[in-house]
Amino acid sequence: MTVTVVPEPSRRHSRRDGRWALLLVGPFLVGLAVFYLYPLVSTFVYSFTEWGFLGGYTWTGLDNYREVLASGEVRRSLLNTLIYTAISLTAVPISLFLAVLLNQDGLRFRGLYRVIFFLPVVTMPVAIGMVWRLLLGGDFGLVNVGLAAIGIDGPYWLADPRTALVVISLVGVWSVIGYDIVLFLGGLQTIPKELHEAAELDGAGAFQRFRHVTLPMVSPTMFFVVIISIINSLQMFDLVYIMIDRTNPALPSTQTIIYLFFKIGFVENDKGLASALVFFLFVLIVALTALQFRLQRRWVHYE
Amino acid sequence: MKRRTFTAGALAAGALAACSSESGPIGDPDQPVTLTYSLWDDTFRPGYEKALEHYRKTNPNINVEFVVTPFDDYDTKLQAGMQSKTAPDVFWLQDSFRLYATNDGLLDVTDRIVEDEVDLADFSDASIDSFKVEGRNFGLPWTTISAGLFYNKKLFDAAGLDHPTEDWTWEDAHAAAERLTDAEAGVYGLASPVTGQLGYYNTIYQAGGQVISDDGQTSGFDTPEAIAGLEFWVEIARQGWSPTPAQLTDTSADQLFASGKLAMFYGGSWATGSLAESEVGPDMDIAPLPAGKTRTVDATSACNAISASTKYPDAAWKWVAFLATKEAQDIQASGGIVCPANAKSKDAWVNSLPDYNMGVFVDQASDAKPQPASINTFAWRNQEPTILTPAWEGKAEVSDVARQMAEAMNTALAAERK
Repeated sequence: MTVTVVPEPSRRHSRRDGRWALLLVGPFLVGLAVFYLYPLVSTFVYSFTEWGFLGGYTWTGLDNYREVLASGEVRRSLLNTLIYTAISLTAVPISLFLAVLLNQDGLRFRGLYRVIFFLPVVTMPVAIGMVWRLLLGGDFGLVNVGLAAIGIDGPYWLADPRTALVVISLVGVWSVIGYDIVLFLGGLQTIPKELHEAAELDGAGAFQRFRHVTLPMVSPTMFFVVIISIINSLQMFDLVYIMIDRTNPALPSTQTIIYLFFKIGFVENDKGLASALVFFLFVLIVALTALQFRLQRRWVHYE
Repeated sequence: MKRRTFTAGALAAGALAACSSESGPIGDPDQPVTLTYSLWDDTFRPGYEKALEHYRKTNPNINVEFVVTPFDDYDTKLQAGMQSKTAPDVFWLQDSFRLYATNDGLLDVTDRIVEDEVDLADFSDASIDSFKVEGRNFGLPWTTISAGLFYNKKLFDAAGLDHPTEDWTWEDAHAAAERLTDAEAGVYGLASPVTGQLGYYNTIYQAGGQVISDDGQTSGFDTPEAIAGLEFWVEIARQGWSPTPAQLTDTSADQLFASGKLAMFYGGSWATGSLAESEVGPDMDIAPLPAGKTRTVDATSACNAISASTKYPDAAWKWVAFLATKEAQDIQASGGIVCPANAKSKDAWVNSLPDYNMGVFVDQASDAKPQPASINTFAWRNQEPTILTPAWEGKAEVSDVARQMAEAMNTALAAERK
């Protein structure tokens, strides 16, 4: 797409530039086509088929989509996914707050703090899931041992349908905060000092400066963070897969759309239905993202 | 100098190995081949490695590379491998055997059994039939097991109770569970997990019920017998003689038993070895499962099967056939982990851990029904914990969840026939 956007001093010149550009983005385009475009198209095609166990398929038209829309399990998983997404969005204000703190002038051990907050991001989700699963164990988990010390009898966090999804979401928040902080720090550092100084001269207090200078100036970053968070949360899989066993009674109230996709496609071997389900999610993500781009005019402030 | 020769030797060996793995599989029977062999439990591997060592003494050309995948992901991975033609040459199969066999995923070994005169009489009929489709054999069993009642002698003695015997009935088990439960000390009588093989499949059979009809077409969960079989466990859970399903999700029954917090549980033979080494080792023993109307229990068999797309069918068959011999089964049984399918290896198993009543696992198998399975077994079996748990938690009636389970299972079975 960027290929065509080339300034045009002369026709001959532009064609040569275009060729160069194509050459430079070529490898990327090939990767995009092989790893994204092709799977996308084939998934779409497979969503109208029913698969045999060892390959081979028959056309079934819209059957899979009908099943997706009629399924109570899909509805439940969609609800779980949306709850997870909503809770994980709390990472946005938390990381903005922490980023502002970390961005203060003259903060000691700033580098150390940044490393600490960033550590979960470079840790594998599987490791995060395993460690938190141990911490949250009902009988011997450190969390409940700590709670018992102050007289609280902690629940079976991950086996109780009432707490499991919330707890997993919070682990998700914990693991993503470092990434958001880095993005916000980048945004914060582009705010000219003069703006803050001017506001201070006009008598604005710390909160007012945050509200009227920092927040509008960092809003493009925040827009990006929100978009990415929602897209990632809607595709949640690994934490649920690691933290909730197949026999866990809390499974129905924690399984997300992608978890259900995995189960239908690879455990129950219904690849066609699974394709329809992810395509449904794909449309949902596109729609939500488009909606956000529409709404951004109301709150995102570009200089 | 010495070192250089060693390096050179290693390089040469490496080059040889590289050649051998690429060279032609068919034709020359003396060509060295490396088979890939897939299992789902790492604790079984040492036994197999020992067997392999023994095997290579007479068959130096066949080597075996072990691939271990945890049980929960085993079928997922194997199916993906089959679909992409990268499946291992030989692999264990259990509940989902029919899925592979009816979809041309497995090598038919019927003629090879006849040619090599493998004596199928050494195995129980149930274990052979479990791996047959339309009269053809697609695998040889390597293990046949039933659950055993593991109990903590010390807790029984402290409660002044006699140890479980082979005459025990459900009522005896309930009565003991009640007496052994000590809420203050955090000790439970009998674990009641929401599980089939080590739980309600046994009691459903003992009540005279079925989980799946003989023709494999309908669920038996909603029959009065099956409901009685489920009620045995629900009663234990609701009376508080067992940890709750949520508790057992976080800490499994064998872990609780190992730490002395549980007096009895239904365990698999494979658990004996590690429990023997745990804290509870000196205080535990194993008894037959308490009887209901009948003594019939669930016996699970697992087989070694060969991929239909293997490049080395002859070598694969030789390995599979060897694993079913008394020789190989003795080696594994004596480790106290692999309960043998071959009846001739029974003594090796019984004597493997002489402190415990290991005979339970094989003796019961003679009065057993095979574990319920259909073609796409996991399509319904994975739904069991979700649908049945509310009854254990006292949130639903047993008859209601049993009916729901039967409906879900019938839907899944109908989908198989499409």
